Amino acid sequence: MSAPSARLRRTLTSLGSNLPLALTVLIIGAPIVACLLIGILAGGGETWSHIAETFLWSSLGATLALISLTGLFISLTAIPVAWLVTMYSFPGRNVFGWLLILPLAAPGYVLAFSYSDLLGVGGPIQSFIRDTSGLSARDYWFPQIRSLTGCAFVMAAALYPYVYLTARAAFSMQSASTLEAAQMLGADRHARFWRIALPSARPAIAAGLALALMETAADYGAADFLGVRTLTVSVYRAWASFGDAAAGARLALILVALTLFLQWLERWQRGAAGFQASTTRWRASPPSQLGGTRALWATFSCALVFGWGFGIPIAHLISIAIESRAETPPVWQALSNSLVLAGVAAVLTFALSLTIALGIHHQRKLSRAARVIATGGYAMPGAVLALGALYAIAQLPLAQTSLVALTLLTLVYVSRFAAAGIEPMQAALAAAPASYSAAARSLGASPLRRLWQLDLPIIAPGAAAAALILFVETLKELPATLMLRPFNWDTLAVRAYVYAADERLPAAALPSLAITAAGLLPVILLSRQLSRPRKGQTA
Amino acid sequence: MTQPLPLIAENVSCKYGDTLIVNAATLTLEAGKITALLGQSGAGKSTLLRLFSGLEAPHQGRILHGETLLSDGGIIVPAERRRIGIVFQDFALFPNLTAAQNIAFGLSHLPDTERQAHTTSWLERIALTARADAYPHQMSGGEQQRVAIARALAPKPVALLMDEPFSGLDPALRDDVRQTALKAIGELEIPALLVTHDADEAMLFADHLAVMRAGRIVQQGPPDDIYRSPIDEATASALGPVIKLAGTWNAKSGKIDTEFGPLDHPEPAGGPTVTVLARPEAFVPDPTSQIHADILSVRHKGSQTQLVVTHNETEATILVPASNDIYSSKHISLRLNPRLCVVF
Repeated sequence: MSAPSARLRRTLTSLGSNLPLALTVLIIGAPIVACLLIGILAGGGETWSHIAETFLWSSLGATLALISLTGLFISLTAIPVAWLVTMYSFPGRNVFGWLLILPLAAPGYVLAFSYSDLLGVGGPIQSFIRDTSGLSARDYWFPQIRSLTGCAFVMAAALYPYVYLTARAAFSMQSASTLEAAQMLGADRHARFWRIALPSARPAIAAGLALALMETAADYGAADFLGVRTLTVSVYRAWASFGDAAAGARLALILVALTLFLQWLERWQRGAAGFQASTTRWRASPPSQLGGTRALWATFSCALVFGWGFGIPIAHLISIAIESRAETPPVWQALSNSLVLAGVAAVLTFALSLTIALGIHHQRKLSRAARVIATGGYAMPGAVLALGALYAIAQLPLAQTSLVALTLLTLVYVSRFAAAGIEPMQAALAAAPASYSAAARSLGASPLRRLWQLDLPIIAPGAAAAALILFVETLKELPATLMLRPFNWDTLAVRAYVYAADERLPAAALPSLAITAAGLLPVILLSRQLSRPRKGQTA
Repeated sequence: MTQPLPLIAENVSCKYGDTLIVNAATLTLEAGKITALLGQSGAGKSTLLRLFSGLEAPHQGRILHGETLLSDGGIIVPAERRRIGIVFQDFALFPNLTAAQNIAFGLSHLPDTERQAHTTSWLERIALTARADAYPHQMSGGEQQRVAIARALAPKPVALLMDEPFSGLDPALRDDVRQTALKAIGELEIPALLVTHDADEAMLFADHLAVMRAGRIVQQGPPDDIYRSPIDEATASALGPVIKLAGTWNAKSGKIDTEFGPLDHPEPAGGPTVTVLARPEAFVPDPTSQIHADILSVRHKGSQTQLVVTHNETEATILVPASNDIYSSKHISLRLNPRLCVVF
């Protein structure tokens, strides 16, 4: 037997095919592992004792309260409009179908800037109240936007589309026969929603909600701006005020545990019921026509939700930008910085996501680990990953140059967003037959030919979406950029934030709108994909 | 091309983790013949196919093409250099290439004109000339399957492996496609492996049949031999329905007595009490027989009629030739055909 040489051959082959994946795992995993280790090993000390005595518990409490309230707001808005748009026909239904996902384009902090001005004491609404009633600000009650409830109101406005999208997909996946069967068994409209549609859409809704709440917990911009001291804000402050990245990293551990808990909660409640019945006899539910006041109510509800999440705050920002166009400082430098940084980070992240997506498809050994790492990175708030990088700068013999800072920032982006790139590529690959690669091998195609002629063309539609998403996510990212950017080196997000924090909203409006405009690109792409007829619907 | 050679698996094993998926399997695919590998899902059939193809490495044992070593406790000749054609269960057509491009994929070594001519002739052969520029998602299941078969055969492979290629098609189409494939295999005189869980299909098309269970090849030989003399009860059931009867050796008559009468059989070696497995068509209507079974239900299936009969409190679902008169009554006289019964 030639066993030793066979083993050697096997080892070499597996090394050759696994090397790119191993490198990918290393690049993506390093900041995450660094953060966790720093938090666990080096996070003690005086600063930590101080944090534990002062704001640890209040921050945790604020975070929990914020995600509960945000979750409540999202559920109360996103699920009803998803149901209306899927099941009923009313004036404006088709337009609302995609208008309702537009808030995905605007980061939470942009909505926070707009709403705080709009609803603040000096804002147009309160001014109008005072002008018409003759009262002074102290004489009447008005909801306070700079509060926990206000922050939840803003976060829910920015993030409800996650639940809207998943709920709508789940509702429209239901075969018409299922609801008809319920109807024949005597269930009325309400019973069909509460007893059939909602429970069977529950896993999808929970998945969307978990994602939205993870984002809420990780948000820095909106919470800090609206004066809510969440864990993420405290993590940032631990570094900014105490200069102790390690203590911040330990604080971040709690945040990481919280996001892991949210993910676990979603998986656990999904249980074995994570699948929609996917029968070949699937039939689309024809939307039923609403008439009279009911149709009016449906249109009004959708308009209200859209206005809340996008229409009103963005229109307000636009009007501010136009009013103050003379005194607005130019944003060209920030724009070019943003484009270069987001471009470089997107290209790198794209390459690594591609490696992982192909690795998973071809069932390479390390692909599971790579996916777990990438998911872990997506769950880590940007502020936390940035702490790891800052700690590395302080501890390692790294020159504190702009280049080093920007390189580390790019690495943080890669860790944070690789999962967002893998997702659409995997979807594209999943549509291809599982054994196409084996078929190509049996026909004598070399690895390079397989990559060039099959893998890349097959992945192309998903890859385009992935590239766009990565670019925009990087463009919107705030806390890590704020912490790691070289001195005086601003991106659009940083510029918007710094101006807004300075109470210079007119100056913040333009960069905010620029980010939102860029964010609209992938959202429009997404909405086009959604409106395309699904498999089986045309047949 | 030189003389077609057999593809041989010698004592190959393969495991995922600690689970043995294929356990010391030995199987020779003779050139110009179709070998069917029959078994339930999870029996290890597809893995054995992948071991032949080089997509999977055996942990032990050898794969040979004639006298050339392809695998030996690891891959020696990689899949892309074996020139073995595969038809996958999901057809695995390249979604970004047209029907013609899919067929031409394995012909990249040929000059352009020759490649085109070859592709065109294959498209004609599978009657898809008009669909040359269609993409896989625009084709029906049957069309996709024909392209998959043409793609595998076009580069003149040294062997053809088919993983459940005919399942999931409607019967008329299935026969059509099967004929195309079988004809091509016959012309190329290459060894062919047909992995299937359909016993009828295996027996209909195979020259050689191997039954696989839990990673082992439990029996192999000409299909008819296995059908009539399976080595055990499970193998007997794998090839089609059997009716289990309790038998006792009757020394006086020199036959085995069962609930459905006597069975001509030599004295069993293992003692007087035996199990008789009878095929549904082993029950032959015979007016002279003394066994009068009660008919419980009648179902017409074209040239055959399925009867549920009972005798001595034992029920049996049997198949008899279709006839108008016999089954109108409540009873039927039956005898057992020993050629369609096995005794254990």
